[in-house]
Amino acid sequence: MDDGLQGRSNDFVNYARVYEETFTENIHSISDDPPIMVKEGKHLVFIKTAEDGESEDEPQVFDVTTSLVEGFGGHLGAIITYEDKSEREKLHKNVSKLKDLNTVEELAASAVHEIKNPIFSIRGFLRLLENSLTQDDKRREYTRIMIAELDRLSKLADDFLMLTKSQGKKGDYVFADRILMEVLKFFEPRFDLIGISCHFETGDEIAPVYIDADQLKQVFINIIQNAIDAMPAGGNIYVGVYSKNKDVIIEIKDEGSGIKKEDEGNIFKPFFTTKENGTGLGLFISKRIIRSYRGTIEFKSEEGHGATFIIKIPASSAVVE
Amino acid sequence: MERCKVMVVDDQLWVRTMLLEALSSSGYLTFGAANGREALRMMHMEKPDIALIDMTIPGIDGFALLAHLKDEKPEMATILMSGNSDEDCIRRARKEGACGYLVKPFDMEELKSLLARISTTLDMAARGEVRWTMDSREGQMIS
Ligand SMILES: Nc1ncnc2c1ncn2[C@@H]1O[C@H](COP(=O)(O)OP(=O)(O)OP(=O)(O)O)[C@@H](O)[C@H]1O
Ligand SMILES: [Mg+2]
Repeated sequence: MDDGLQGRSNDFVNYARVYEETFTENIHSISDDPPIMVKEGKHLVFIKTAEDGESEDEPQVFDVTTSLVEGFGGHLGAIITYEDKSEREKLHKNVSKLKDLNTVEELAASAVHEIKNPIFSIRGFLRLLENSLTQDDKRREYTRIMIAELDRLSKLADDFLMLTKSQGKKGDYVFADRILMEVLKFFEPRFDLIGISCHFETGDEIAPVYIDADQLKQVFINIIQNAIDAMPAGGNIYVGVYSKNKDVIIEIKDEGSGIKKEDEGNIFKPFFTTKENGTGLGLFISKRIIRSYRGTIEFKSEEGHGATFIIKIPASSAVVE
Repeated sequence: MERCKVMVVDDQLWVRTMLLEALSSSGYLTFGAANGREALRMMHMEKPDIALIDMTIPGIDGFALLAHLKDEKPEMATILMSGNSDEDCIRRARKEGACGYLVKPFDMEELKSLLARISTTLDMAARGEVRWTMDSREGQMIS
Protein backbone atom coordinates (compact mmCIF):
# COMPACT_ATOMS: atom_id res chain seq x y z
CA MET A 1 0.00 0.00 0.00
CA ASP A 2 1.05 3.56 -0.57
CA ASP A 3 1.04 6.55 1.71
CA GLY A 4 -2.74 6.45 1.65
CA LEU A 5 -2.33 4.36 4.79
CA GLN A 6 -1.17 7.33 6.82
CA GLY A 7 -4.08 9.42 5.79
CA ARG A 8 -6.52 6.63 6.45
CA SER A 9 -5.55 5.81 10.01
CA ASN A 10 -7.80 8.53 11.40
CA ASP A 11 -10.72 7.17 9.42
CA PHE A 12 -9.91 3.83 10.79
CA VAL A 13 -9.93 5.00 14.37
CA ASN A 14 -13.29 6.55 13.63
CA TYR A 15 -14.51 3.31 12.25
CA ALA A 16 -13.39 1.56 15.43
CA ARG A 17 -15.43 4.02 17.40
CA VAL A 18 -18.47 3.25 15.28
CA TYR A 19 -18.04 -0.38 16.13
CA GLU A 20 -17.81 0.44 19.78
CA GLU A 21 -21.26 1.94 19.59
CA THR A 22 -22.92 -0.75 17.53
CA PHE A 23 -21.30 -3.96 18.57
CA THR A 24 -20.42 -5.43 21.88
CA GLU A 25 -19.05 -8.76 20.80
CA ASN A 26 -15.29 -9.17 20.45
CA ILE A 27 -14.73 -5.52 21.21
CA HIS A 28 -11.64 -4.80 23.20
CA SER A 29 -10.22 -1.66 24.64
CA ILE A 30 -6.57 -1.35 23.77
CA SER A 31 -5.96 2.11 25.13
CA ASP A 32 -7.66 4.33 27.65
CA ASP A 33 -6.01 7.56 26.67
CA PRO A 34 -6.92 8.16 23.95
CA PRO A 35 -9.72 5.63 24.24
CA ILE A 36 -9.47 3.17 21.37
CA MET A 37 -11.59 0.10 20.89
CA VAL A 38 -11.02 -2.58 18.31
CA LYS A 39 -13.02 -5.48 16.99
CA GLU A 40 -11.08 -8.69 16.77
CA GLY A 41 -11.13 -10.76 13.63
CA LYS A 42 -11.58 -10.08 9.93
CA HIS A 43 -14.17 -7.85 8.31
CA LEU A 44 -14.94 -5.75 5.33
CA VAL A 45 -15.24 -2.02 6.01
CA PHE A 46 -16.67 0.72 3.85
CA ILE A 47 -15.51 4.25 4.52
CA LYS A 48 -17.22 7.19 2.89
CA THR A 49 -14.70 9.90 2.18
CA ALA A 50 -17.19 12.72 1.76
CA GLU A 51 -18.61 14.45 4.81
CA ASP A 52 -22.21 13.98 3.86
CA GLY A 53 -23.60 10.54 3.28
CA GLU A 54 -25.37 11.84 0.17
CA SER A 55 -22.21 12.06 -1.87
CA GLU A 56 -22.02 10.22 -5.17
CA ASP A 57 -18.50 9.12 -4.34
CA GLU A 58 -17.89 5.42 -4.09
CA PRO A 59 -17.04 4.40 -0.53
CA GLN A 60 -13.54 3.09 0.04
CA VAL A 61 -13.51 -0.58 0.76
CA PHE A 62 -11.05 -2.19 3.14
CA ASP A 63 -10.42 -5.72 4.23
CA VAL A 64 -9.51 -5.28 7.89
CA THR A 65 -7.85 -7.89 10.03
CA THR A 66 -7.36 -7.19 13.72
CA SER A 67 -5.23 -9.33 16.02
CA LEU A 68 -4.85 -8.44 19.63
CA VAL A 69 -1.41 -8.45 21.21
CA GLU A 70 -1.74 -9.91 24.67
CA GLY A 71 0.52 -8.93 27.58
CA PHE A 72 0.55 -10.08 31.19
CA GLY A 73 -1.63 -7.27 32.38
CA GLY A 74 -4.14 -7.48 29.53
CA HIS A 75 -4.05 -6.16 25.97
CA LEU A 76 -0.81 -4.48 25.00
CA GLY A 77 -2.23 -3.37 21.72
CA ALA A 78 -3.45 -4.64 18.43
CA ILE A 79 -2.01 -5.29 15.03
CA ILE A 80 -4.39 -4.04 12.45
CA THR A 81 -3.84 -4.63 8.77
CA TYR A 82 -6.11 -3.17 6.26
CA GLU A 83 -6.03 -3.87 2.62
CA ASP A 84 -7.51 -1.43 0.16
CA LYS A 85 -10.07 -3.31 -1.91
CA SER A 86 -11.48 -0.28 -3.65
CA GLU A 87 -9.78 -0.93 -6.96
CA ARG A 88 -10.99 -4.48 -7.04
CA GLU A 89 -14.51 -3.42 -6.19
CA LYS A 90 -14.39 -0.84 -8.94
CA LEU A 91 -13.16 -3.44 -11.41
CA HIS A 92 -15.95 -5.72 -10.34
CA LYS A 93 -18.51 -3.00 -10.93
CA ASN A 94 -17.05 -2.21 -14.35
CA VAL A 95 -17.23 -5.82 -15.36
CA SER A 96 -20.91 -5.97 -14.48
CA LYS A 97 -21.39 -2.77 -16.41
CA LEU A 98 -19.71 -4.38 -19.41
CA LYS A 99 -22.12 -7.27 -19.21
CA ASP A 100 -24.92 -4.79 -19.66
CA LEU A 101 -23.63 -3.79 -23.07
CA ASN A 102 -25.88 -5.82 -25.26
CA THR A 103 -23.46 -7.29 -27.69
CA VAL A 104 -19.81 -7.58 -28.45
CA GLU A 105 -20.62 -5.32 -31.35
CA GLU A 106 -21.58 -2.44 -29.10
CA LEU A 107 -18.50 -2.95 -26.98
CA ALA A 108 -16.29 -3.00 -30.05
CA ALA A 109 -17.95 0.12 -31.42
CA SER A 110 -17.22 2.11 -28.28
CA ALA A 111 -13.69 0.69 -28.02
CA VAL A 112 -13.00 1.71 -31.60
CA HIS A 113 -14.34 5.16 -30.80
CA GLU A 114 -11.99 5.44 -27.85
CA ILE A 115 -9.08 4.35 -30.04
CA LYS A 116 -9.84 6.75 -32.85
CA ASN A 117 -10.02 9.90 -30.77
CA PRO A 118 -6.38 9.82 -29.63
CA ILE A 119 -5.30 8.76 -33.13
CA PHE A 120 -7.13 11.81 -34.42
CA SER A 121 -5.56 14.26 -32.00
CA ILE A 122 -2.05 12.85 -32.50
CA ARG A 123 -2.50 13.02 -36.25
CA GLY A 124 -3.65 16.63 -36.08
CA PHE A 125 -0.80 17.72 -33.84
CA LEU A 126 1.65 15.97 -36.17
CA ARG A 127 0.30 18.00 -39.06
CA LEU A 128 0.83 21.17 -37.04
CA LEU A 129 4.36 20.07 -36.26
CA GLU A 130 4.96 19.33 -39.93
CA ASN A 131 3.73 22.79 -40.91
CA SER A 132 6.31 24.35 -38.64
CA LEU A 133 9.14 22.61 -40.51
CA THR A 134 10.67 24.10 -43.64
CA GLN A 135 9.87 22.41 -46.96
CA ASP A 136 13.29 20.73 -47.24
CA ASP A 137 13.51 19.60 -43.63
CA LYS A 138 14.35 15.88 -43.52
CA ARG A 139 12.11 15.47 -40.50
CA ARG A 140 9.10 15.87 -42.75
CA GLU A 141 9.77 12.28 -43.73
CA TYR A 142 9.30 11.28 -40.07
CA THR A 143 5.95 13.00 -39.78
CA ARG A 144 4.86 11.46 -43.07
CA ILE A 145 5.65 7.98 -41.76
CA MET A 146 3.97 8.64 -38.44
CA ILE A 147 0.81 9.80 -40.14
CA ALA A 148 0.78 6.78 -42.45
CA GLU A 149 1.21 4.48 -39.46
CA LEU A 150 -1.62 6.18 -37.61
CA ASP A 151 -3.87 5.74 -40.62
CA ARG A 152 -2.99 2.06 -40.60
CA LEU A 153 -3.97 1.80 -36.94
CA SER A 154 -7.23 3.52 -37.62
CA LYS A 155 -8.03 1.20 -40.51
CA LEU A 156 -7.18 -1.79 -38.35
CA ALA A 157 -9.68 -0.55 -35.78
CA ASP A 158 -12.35 -0.23 -38.48
CA ASP A 159 -11.62 -3.71 -39.81
CA PHE A 160 -11.85 -5.08 -36.33
CA LEU A 161 -15.22 -3.44 -35.90
CA MET A 162 -16.38 -4.97 -39.17
CA LEU A 163 -15.41 -8.41 -37.88
CA THR A 164 -17.56 -8.08 -34.80
CA LYS A 165 -20.66 -7.13 -36.75
CA SER A 166 -23.36 -9.73 -36.37
CA GLN A 167 -23.36 -11.67 -39.59
CA GLY A 168 -25.96 -13.53 -41.53
CA LYS A 169 -28.66 -12.42 -39.09
CA LYS A 170 -29.65 -8.97 -40.17
CA GLY A 171 -30.48 -8.35 -43.79
CA ASP A 172 -32.77 -6.96 -46.39
CA TYR A 173 -33.74 -7.68 -49.98
CA VAL A 174 -31.27 -5.61 -51.94
CA PHE A 175 -30.16 -5.26 -55.53
CA ALA A 176 -26.46 -5.95 -55.86
CA ASP A 177 -26.14 -3.90 -59.05
CA ARG A 178 -27.46 -0.76 -57.36
CA ILE A 179 -25.12 -1.13 -54.43
CA LEU A 180 -22.23 -1.72 -56.81
CA MET A 181 -23.13 1.44 -58.70
CA GLU A 182 -23.05 3.46 -55.49
CA VAL A 183 -19.63 2.04 -54.63
CA LEU A 184 -18.27 2.82 -58.08
CA LYS A 185 -19.53 6.37 -57.79
CA PHE A 186 -17.71 6.65 -54.49
CA PHE A 187 -14.48 5.50 -56.18
CA GLU A 188 -14.84 7.73 -59.24
CA PRO A 189 -12.52 10.54 -58.08
CA ARG A 190 -9.85 7.98 -57.26
CA PHE A 191 -10.22 6.25 -60.64
CA ASP A 192 -9.73 9.61 -62.33
CA LEU A 193 -6.69 10.40 -60.24
CA ILE A 194 -4.87 7.15 -61.07
CA GLY A 195 -6.09 6.84 -64.65
CA ILE A 196 -8.39 3.86 -64.29
CA SER A 197 -11.37 3.35 -66.60
CA CYS A 198 -14.17 1.39 -65.05
CA HIS A 199 -16.56 -0.57 -67.27
CA PHE A 200 -19.84 -1.58 -65.76
CA GLU A 201 -22.11 -4.17 -67.30
CA THR A 202 -25.31 -5.64 -65.99
CA GLY A 203 -27.85 -8.21 -67.17
CA ASP A 204 -31.49 -7.24 -67.72
CA GLU A 205 -33.20 -8.78 -64.74
CA ILE A 206 -31.10 -8.90 -61.60
CA ALA A 207 -32.80 -10.82 -58.82
CA PRO A 208 -32.67 -9.35 -55.33
CA VAL A 209 -30.43 -10.95 -52.73
CA TYR A 210 -30.97 -11.16 -49.00
CA ILE A 211 -28.01 -9.49 -47.28
CA ASP A 212 -27.01 -6.54 -45.12
CA ALA A 213 -26.53 -3.68 -47.58
CA ASP A 214 -23.71 -2.01 -45.64
CA GLN A 215 -21.81 -5.26 -45.40
CA LEU A 216 -22.21 -5.99 -49.09
CA LYS A 217 -20.99 -2.48 -49.81
CA GLN A 218 -17.93 -3.20 -47.66
CA VAL A 219 -17.18 -6.34 -49.70
CA PHE A 220 -17.30 -4.37 -52.96
CA ILE A 221 -15.14 -1.62 -51.51
CA ASN A 222 -12.51 -4.16 -50.38
CA ILE A 223 -12.31 -5.89 -53.74
CA ILE A 224 -12.28 -2.73 -55.83
CA GLN A 225 -9.68 -1.19 -53.52
CA ASN A 226 -7.51 -4.27 -54.11
CA ALA A 227 -7.94 -3.85 -57.86
CA ILE A 228 -6.86 -0.22 -57.58
CA ASP A 229 -3.86 -1.20 -55.45
CA ALA A 230 -2.84 -3.71 -58.10
CA MET A 231 -2.82 -1.05 -60.84
CA PRO A 232 -0.77 1.89 -59.59
CA ALA A 233 -0.21 3.02 -63.17
CA GLY A 234 -3.85 2.80 -64.17
CA GLY A 235 -5.72 0.48 -66.54
CA ASN A 236 -9.18 -1.03 -66.86
CA ILE A 237 -11.56 -2.51 -64.35
CA TYR A 238 -14.47 -4.57 -65.65
CA VAL A 239 -17.44 -5.03 -63.38
CA GLY A 240 -20.37 -7.25 -64.26
CA VAL A 241 -23.53 -8.33 -62.49
CA TYR A 242 -25.67 -11.24 -63.74
CA SER A 243 -28.48 -13.44 -62.57
CA LYS A 244 -27.78 -17.07 -63.35
CA ASN A 245 -29.83 -20.05 -62.24
CA LYS A 246 -30.54 -19.34 -58.62
CA ASP A 247 -27.58 -17.06 -58.03
CA VAL A 248 -26.62 -13.48 -58.50
CA ILE A 249 -23.06 -13.33 -59.78
CA ILE A 250 -20.78 -10.34 -59.47
CA GLU A 251 -17.46 -10.30 -61.33
CA ILE A 252 -14.74 -7.76 -60.76
CA LYS A 253 -11.78 -8.00 -63.12
CA ASP A 254 -8.64 -5.90 -63.16
CA GLU A 255 -5.49 -5.67 -65.28
CA GLY A 256 -3.10 -5.40 -62.40
CA SER A 257 -0.12 -7.37 -61.15
CA GLY A 258 -2.13 -10.53 -60.51
CA ILE A 259 -1.64 -13.03 -57.73
CA LYS A 260 1.49 -15.15 -57.43
CA LYS A 261 1.00 -18.93 -57.49
CA GLU A 262 2.51 -19.31 -54.05
CA ASP A 263 0.14 -16.70 -52.58
CA GLU A 264 -3.02 -18.24 -53.99
CA GLY A 265 -3.74 -20.30 -50.91
CA ASN A 266 -3.13 -17.37 -48.59
CA ILE A 267 -5.00 -14.34 -49.80
CA PHE A 268 -8.15 -15.09 -47.79
CA LYS A 269 -6.18 -15.67 -44.59
CA PRO A 270 -6.33 -12.94 -41.95
CA PHE A 271 -3.33 -10.60 -41.91
CA PHE A 272 -1.88 -11.97 -45.13
CA THR A 273 -0.70 -9.01 -47.12
CA THR A 274 1.94 -8.20 -49.71
CA LYS A 275 1.43 -4.46 -49.30
CA GLU A 276 3.61 -2.11 -47.32
CA ASN A 277 0.58 -0.51 -45.70
CA GLY A 278 -1.83 -3.42 -45.92
CA THR A 279 -3.65 -4.98 -43.02
CA GLY A 280 -4.50 -8.21 -44.79
CA LEU A 281 -8.05 -8.25 -43.49
CA GLY A 282 -9.92 -7.05 -46.58
CA LEU A 283 -10.50 -10.41 -48.26
CA PHE A 284 -10.84 -12.28 -44.99
CA ILE A 285 -13.68 -10.00 -43.93
CA SER A 286 -15.25 -10.14 -47.37
CA LYS A 287 -15.29 -13.91 -47.41
CA ARG A 288 -16.80 -14.08 -43.93
CA ILE A 289 -19.59 -11.74 -44.92
CA ILE A 290 -20.42 -13.48 -48.19
CA ARG A 291 -20.25 -16.91 -46.62
CA SER A 292 -22.58 -15.92 -43.80
CA TYR A 293 -25.25 -15.23 -46.42
CA ARG A 294 -24.54 -18.60 -48.01
CA GLY A 295 -22.62 -17.18 -50.91
CA THR A 296 -19.15 -17.93 -52.24
CA ILE A 297 -16.22 -15.84 -53.32
CA GLU A 298 -13.55 -17.13 -55.68
CA PHE A 299 -10.84 -15.75 -57.91
CA LYS A 300 -8.93 -16.47 -61.07
CA SER A 301 -5.54 -14.95 -61.64
CA GLU A 302 -2.30 -15.26 -63.44
CA GLU A 303 0.72 -13.42 -62.23
CA GLY A 304 1.27 -10.34 -64.35
CA HIS A 305 -2.11 -10.63 -66.06
CA GLY A 306 -4.61 -9.27 -63.59
CA ALA A 307 -7.13 -10.93 -61.34
CA THR A 308 -10.86 -11.63 -61.42
CA PHE A 309 -12.94 -11.99 -58.29
CA ILE A 310 -16.26 -13.79 -58.59
CA ILE A 311 -18.93 -13.45 -55.94
CA LYS A 312 -22.00 -15.68 -55.94
CA ILE A 313 -24.95 -14.92 -53.70
CA PRO A 314 -28.14 -16.99 -53.72
CA ALA A 315 -31.04 -15.02 -55.22
CA SER A 316 -33.56 -14.28 -52.50
CA SER A 317 -36.29 -16.51 -53.96
CA ALA A 318 -33.87 -19.41 -53.67
CA VAL A 319 -33.24 -18.71 -50.00
CA VAL A 320 -36.86 -18.92 -48.96
CA GLU A 321 -37.42 -22.46 -47.76
CA MET B 1 -17.06 38.53 -45.04
CA GLU B 2 -14.80 39.20 -42.07
CA ARG B 3 -12.99 36.41 -40.29
CA CYS B 4 -15.13 33.37 -39.72
CA LYS B 5 -15.73 32.20 -36.16
CA VAL B 6 -15.82 28.47 -35.49
CA MET B 7 -17.16 26.76 -32.38
CA VAL B 8 -15.59 23.36 -31.69
CA VAL B 9 -17.70 21.01 -29.56
CA ASP B 10 -15.88 17.88 -28.43
CA ASP B 11 -15.62 16.39 -24.96
CA GLN B 12 -12.10 15.06 -25.49
CA LEU B 13 -9.71 17.74 -24.33
CA TRP B 14 -6.84 17.00 -26.72
CA VAL B 15 -9.07 16.54 -29.72
CA ARG B 16 -10.64 19.89 -28.96
CA THR B 17 -7.28 21.54 -28.36
CA MET B 18 -5.86 20.16 -31.57
CA LEU B 19 -8.82 21.36 -33.64
CA LEU B 20 -8.70 24.80 -32.06
CA GLU B 21 -4.96 25.10 -32.70
CA ALA B 22 -5.23 23.90 -36.27
CA LEU B 23 -8.08 26.26 -37.07
CA SER B 24 -6.64 29.32 -35.41
CA SER B 25 -3.29 28.71 -37.12
CA SER B 26 -5.12 28.92 -40.42
CA GLY B 27 -6.75 32.18 -39.57
CA TYR B 28 -10.09 31.26 -38.06
CA LEU B 29 -11.46 32.76 -34.88
CA THR B 30 -12.22 29.89 -32.55
CA PHE B 31 -13.56 28.80 -29.20
CA GLY B 32 -14.35 25.41 -27.72
CA ALA B 33 -17.05 23.75 -25.68
CA ALA B 34 -16.85 20.39 -23.95
CA ASN B 35 -20.52 19.48 -24.12
CA GLY B 36 -23.88 20.47 -25.53
CA ARG B 37 -25.00 22.63 -22.64
CA GLU B 38 -21.76 24.59 -22.65
CA ALA B 39 -22.08 24.98 -26.41
CA LEU B 40 -25.57 26.44 -26.15
CA ARG B 41 -24.48 28.85 -23.42
CA MET B 42 -21.34 30.01 -25.21
CA MET B 43 -23.10 30.35 -28.51
CA HIS B 44 -25.08 33.31 -27.22
CA MET B 45 -21.98 35.16 -26.07
CA GLU B 46 -19.63 34.25 -28.91
CA LYS B 47 -22.02 34.11 -31.87
CA PRO B 48 -20.12 31.62 -34.05
CA ASP B 49 -20.68 31.35 -37.81
CA ILE B 50 -19.91 27.66 -37.96
CA ALA B 51 -20.22 24.85 -35.41
CA LEU B 52 -18.07 21.73 -35.59
CA ILE B 53 -19.75 19.11 -33.42
CA ASP B 54 -18.67 15.68 -32.26
CA MET B 55 -21.52 13.18 -32.37
CA THR B 56 -20.79 11.46 -29.07
CA ILE B 57 -20.60 14.26 -26.57
CA PRO B 58 -21.98 13.55 -23.09
CA GLY B 59 -25.46 14.78 -22.20
CA ILE B 60 -27.15 16.32 -25.21
CA ASP B 61 -25.78 14.31 -28.13
CA GLY B 62 -24.71 15.60 -31.52
CA PHE B 63 -28.10 15.32 -33.23
CA ALA B 64 -29.97 16.91 -30.34
CA LEU B 65 -27.48 19.76 -30.23
CA LEU B 66 -27.81 20.18 -33.99
CA ALA B 67 -31.58 20.50 -33.59
CA HIS B 68 -31.20 23.09 -30.81
CA LEU B 69 -28.75 25.12 -32.85
CA LYS B 70 -30.97 24.98 -35.91
CA ASP B 71 -33.82 26.28 -33.78
CA GLU B 72 -31.93 29.10 -32.19
CA LYS B 73 -29.65 30.17 -34.98
CA PRO B 74 -30.78 28.73 -38.32
CA GLU B 75 -28.26 30.71 -40.35
CA MET B 76 -25.34 29.03 -38.62
CA ALA B 77 -23.58 26.27 -40.57
CA THR B 78 -22.96 22.97 -38.76
CA ILE B 79 -20.53 20.17 -39.42
CA LEU B 80 -20.80 16.87 -37.58
CA MET B 81 -17.86 14.59 -36.86
CA SER B 82 -17.77 11.03 -35.66
CA GLY B 83 -15.50 8.02 -35.37
CA ASN B 84 -17.89 5.86 -37.35
CA SER B 85 -18.99 6.06 -40.92
CA ASP B 86 -22.38 4.48 -40.31
CA GLU B 87 -24.52 5.19 -43.37
CA ASP B 88 -27.67 5.74 -41.33
CA CYS B 89 -25.94 8.43 -39.28
CA ILE B 90 -24.70 10.22 -42.37
CA ARG B 91 -28.12 10.03 -43.98
CA ARG B 92 -29.73 11.40 -40.86
CA ALA B 93 -27.19 14.22 -40.57
CA ARG B 94 -28.01 15.25 -44.10
CA LYS B 95 -31.72 15.13 -43.44
CA GLU B 96 -31.44 17.24 -40.33
CA GLY B 97 -29.58 20.00 -42.07
CA ALA B 98 -25.90 19.50 -41.27
CA CYS B 99 -23.71 20.78 -44.08
CA GLY B 100 -20.94 18.28 -43.54
CA TYR B 101 -20.10 14.99 -41.90
CA LEU B 102 -16.46 14.15 -41.29
CA VAL B 103 -15.26 10.72 -40.22
CA LYS B 104 -12.48 10.81 -37.65
CA PRO B 105 -9.57 10.70 -38.16
CA PHE B 106 -9.89 13.09 -41.06
CA ASP B 107 -7.15 15.31 -42.43
CA MET B 108 -7.11 18.96 -41.46
CA GLU B 109 -6.93 19.89 -45.12
CA GLU B 110 -10.29 18.22 -45.62
CA LEU B 111 -11.82 20.28 -42.83
CA LYS B 112 -10.24 23.48 -44.08
CA SER B 113 -11.48 23.07 -47.62
CA LEU B 114 -14.97 22.36 -46.31
CA LEU B 115 -14.80 25.46 -44.09
CA ALA B 116 -13.55 27.58 -46.96
CA ARG B 117 -16.46 26.53 -49.13
CA ILE B 118 -18.88 27.17 -46.30
CA SER B 119 -17.58 30.61 -45.47
CA THR B 120 -18.00 31.78 -49.05
CA THR B 121 -21.66 30.81 -48.85
CA LEU B 122 -22.21 32.07 -45.32
CA ASP B 123 -23.26 35.56 -46.29
CA MET B 124 -25.90 34.20 -48.59
CA ALA B 125 -27.14 31.88 -45.88
CA ALA B 126 -27.41 34.82 -43.53
CA ARG B 127 -29.69 36.49 -46.05
CA GLY B 128 -31.69 33.30 -46.27
CA GLU B 129 -30.80 32.79 -49.91
CA VAL B 130 -29.46 29.29 -49.57
CA ARG B 131 -30.22 26.32 -47.40
CA TRP B 132 -27.51 24.08 -46.09
CA THR B 133 -27.44 20.66 -47.68
CA MET B 134 -24.77 18.09 -48.02
CA ASP B 135 -23.78 15.40 -50.39
CA SER B 136 -21.61 12.25 -50.18
CA ARG B 137 -19.85 10.77 -47.19
CA GLU B 138 -16.98 13.22 -47.30
CA GLY B 139 -19.42 15.94 -46.49
CA GLN B 140 -19.33 17.83 -49.74
CA MET B 141 -21.51 20.84 -49.55
CA ILE B 142 -23.78 21.95 -52.31
CA SER B 143 -25.50 25.25 -52.10
N1 LIG C 1 -6.89 -7.71 -57.34
C1 LIG C 1 -5.74 -8.16 -56.81
N2 LIG C 1 -4.61 -8.19 -57.57
C2 LIG C 1 -3.45 -8.65 -57.04
N3 LIG C 1 -3.31 -9.11 -55.79
C3 LIG C 1 -4.38 -9.09 -54.98
C4 LIG C 1 -5.64 -8.63 -55.47
N4 LIG C 1 -6.53 -8.73 -54.45
C5 LIG C 1 -5.86 -9.24 -53.40
N5 LIG C 1 -4.55 -9.46 -53.72
C6 LIG C 1 -3.52 -10.02 -52.82
O1 LIG C 1 -4.12 -10.52 -51.66
C7 LIG C 1 -3.57 -9.92 -50.50
C8 LIG C 1 -4.64 -9.85 -49.43
O2 LIG C 1 -5.66 -8.92 -49.78
P1 LIG C 1 -6.52 -8.22 -48.65
O3 LIG C 1 -7.48 -7.32 -49.30
O4 LIG C 1 -7.06 -9.30 -47.78
O5 LIG C 1 -5.46 -7.45 -47.82
P2 LIG C 1 -4.65 -6.13 -48.24
O6 LIG C 1 -5.28 -5.50 -49.43
O7 LIG C 1 -3.22 -6.49 -48.34
O8 LIG C 1 -4.86 -5.21 -46.97
P3 LIG C 1 -6.21 -4.50 -46.55
O9 LIG C 1 -6.58 -5.09 -45.24
O10 LIG C 1 -5.83 -3.07 -46.49
O11 LIG C 1 -7.24 -4.80 -47.60
C9 LIG C 1 -3.04 -8.59 -50.98
O12 LIG C 1 -2.01 -8.11 -50.14
C10 LIG C 1 -2.55 -8.95 -52.39
O13 LIG C 1 -1.29 -9.55 -52.31
MG1 LIG D 1 -7.33 -5.12 -49.52
